[in-house]
Amino acid sequence: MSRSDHTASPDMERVIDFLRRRNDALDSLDWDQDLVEDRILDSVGFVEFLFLLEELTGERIDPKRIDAMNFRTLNRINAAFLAGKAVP
Amino acid sequence: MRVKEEPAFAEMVERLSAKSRHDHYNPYTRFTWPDRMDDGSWWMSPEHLTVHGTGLVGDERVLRELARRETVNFFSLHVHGIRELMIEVSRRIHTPRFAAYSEYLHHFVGEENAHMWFFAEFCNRYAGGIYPDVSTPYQREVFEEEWEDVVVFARILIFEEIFDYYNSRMGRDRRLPEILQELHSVHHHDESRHVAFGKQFLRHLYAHAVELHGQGRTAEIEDYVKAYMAYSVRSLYNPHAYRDAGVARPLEVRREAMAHPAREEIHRRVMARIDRFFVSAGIFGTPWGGEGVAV
Repeated sequence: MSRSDHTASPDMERVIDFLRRRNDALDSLDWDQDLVEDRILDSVGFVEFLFLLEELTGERIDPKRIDAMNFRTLNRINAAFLAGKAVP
Repeated sequence: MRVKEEPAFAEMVERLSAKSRHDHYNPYTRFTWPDRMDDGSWWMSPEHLTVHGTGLVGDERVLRELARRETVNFFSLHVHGIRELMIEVSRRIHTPRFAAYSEYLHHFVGEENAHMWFFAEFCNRYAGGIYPDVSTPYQREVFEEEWEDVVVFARILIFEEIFDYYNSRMGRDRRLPEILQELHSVHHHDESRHVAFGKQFLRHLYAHAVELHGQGRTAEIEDYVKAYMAYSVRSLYNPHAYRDAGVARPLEVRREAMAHPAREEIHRRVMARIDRFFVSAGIFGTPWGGEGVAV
């Protein structure tokens, strides 16, 4: 599923903005871009990203239950953490 | 590895091993743990709280609670951080490249194991346990093994320098309960040996990696080590500790605190010694200077 199938919610806009500030190779139109392979989400930035998702979802994310696959693409991040939230 | 060709370094390693043997203690009997820790005292010196100097938290009750939660965070960082680094050191003991240093590395692992135990023990006894590890599920890019050696021992040094900055100060702070002063002080004592070894060892490892692989990776290594310094400073600011202490808007306060000019100055101060070392050892072309902490 590509970006054109979505209206980016304000939360996803913040996700995109966060990732782009870390690495401008992020293609905000390609929600299937591999964020790990393209080094947009890296080992030292991961914790910050987790905290951002906690802020957006209002919930603490249990580190023991982290599935790395859920962080690999914008589509996966949206589906795993933010899709349940209404798009205004 | 060139330890045989460097008698001064070999001598230092032997001297540090002898000191480790002489100073050895049993961590499980070394401390007298009080039954309770609820006398309302500061668990961390207020000037070492991550919100200090920012004016973001004014309520002293919240600050005292934050001192408790940030102590737990500080000790948790040690437990998780040193576990990863002990695994890396253990992988190398008695391998051909590290054979000459194996005895000292045994002392290192033994002492770090003791530290890990007593920091976790404090949290388990008085604070309901440590904070969970939130490290990445991803592997970073792996370099050639000699560059990996450089990265591992650079990370150990950064880690030790941060702890030593706070341990050396809080070990002398009479406002803290005696057991906390003692934990900081014992850790500071052991770490001074590790830092002395680590700096000389890292110079060797770096020279060896350059000799084998040339200068091609050096900029990448510098970038990685600097990013790790920023990451290490950020890990002191745990939003879960803020929340548990009753700080309102914990994630926003964390972001504001990390970017505050007063804090930027403190980040530079905490890392000043190691930053200077990296420059003098030729590992950095320019100082880190606190860059990359704010998000």
